[in-house]
Amino acid sequence: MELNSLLIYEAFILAIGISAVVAFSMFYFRLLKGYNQLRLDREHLKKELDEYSNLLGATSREHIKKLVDQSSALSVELKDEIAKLLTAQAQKESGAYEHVIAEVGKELREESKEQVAEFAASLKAEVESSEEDIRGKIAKLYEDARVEVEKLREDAKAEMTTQRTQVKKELEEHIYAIISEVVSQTTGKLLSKEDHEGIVLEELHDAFARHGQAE
Amino acid sequence: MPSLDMAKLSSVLTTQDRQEMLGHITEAQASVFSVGSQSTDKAKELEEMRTTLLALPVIRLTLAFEPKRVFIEKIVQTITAEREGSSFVVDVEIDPEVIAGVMISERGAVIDKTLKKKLLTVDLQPIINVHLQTLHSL
Repeated sequence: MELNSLLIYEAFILAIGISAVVAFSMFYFRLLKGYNQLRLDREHLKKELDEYSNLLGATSREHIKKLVDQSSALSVELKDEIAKLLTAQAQKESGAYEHVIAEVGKELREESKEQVAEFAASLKAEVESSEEDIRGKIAKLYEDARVEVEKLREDAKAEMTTQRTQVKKELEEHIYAIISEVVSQTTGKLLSKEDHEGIVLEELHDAFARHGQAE
Repeated sequence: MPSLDMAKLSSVLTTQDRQEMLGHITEAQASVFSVGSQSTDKAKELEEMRTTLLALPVIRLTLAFEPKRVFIEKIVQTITAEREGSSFVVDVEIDPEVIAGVMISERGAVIDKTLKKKLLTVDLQPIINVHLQTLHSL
């Protein structure tokens, strides 16, 4: 019994297995077929896509080229227009600038006139006060010079007086020396020993009689 | 060595005499100490002589010539007569520039009785003025 069951069971399993294989194979073949179909479709699509894109590209390139040409022309016109506008603007502004410069220049000229006038006035005032100072200084210099000259004159006078006194003194001493020399050479030799002794005793008597002891 | 006593002091006229006398006194004093009982009195006398000599005032005289001893005695006599006998010694100095006369100095005081001094006191101002005027006119 068990063997029969087993055989049945195995036959059943085998049948299932075979069925599965068949089903799987059928599925596989279908899948493969579907895949091939897809591949073919894809290639076909790809071809069509390429053709379409080529066509589109060509069209767009022409279109772009046209656009570029148009834009080039436009840009030139635009450029001219912009240039004209800019030029006009520049002229307008330069005119404005010139006007501003002229105005500023005018203001500056007036301002500088005023400043020059002010400067001239202050310079004049300074010169006048300097003249006063200079006159004062000159007067002071004259006075100082006069005082200096007076002082020099006084100093010279004093110096001359001193010199005269000195010369007189030297002259006196010289004369005394000459006289002493002459007298000593004459009187000294003329006087005898007795004369000398007599004079000494006489003078001693006179000195002590008048003064007592020498004071 | 001469005998020394107070009487000998009268022979001392000049500073030179005094120096010599002091020298003698010193010698006498040295010999006195070696003598006997009289030495004390003698020594006192000698010391008294020394003291007296050193105390004598000095009168300095400046003369134009070298005086002899005799003249110095006359000088001392003249001064002694005027000073009423007070003792002194003279110191004679020779200076020919005084020309004649004498210059006396004692204890810093001076009396100039020389011919040189007399010449210096002559009024030369009028003579000098004449010469100065001559110089100025040159």
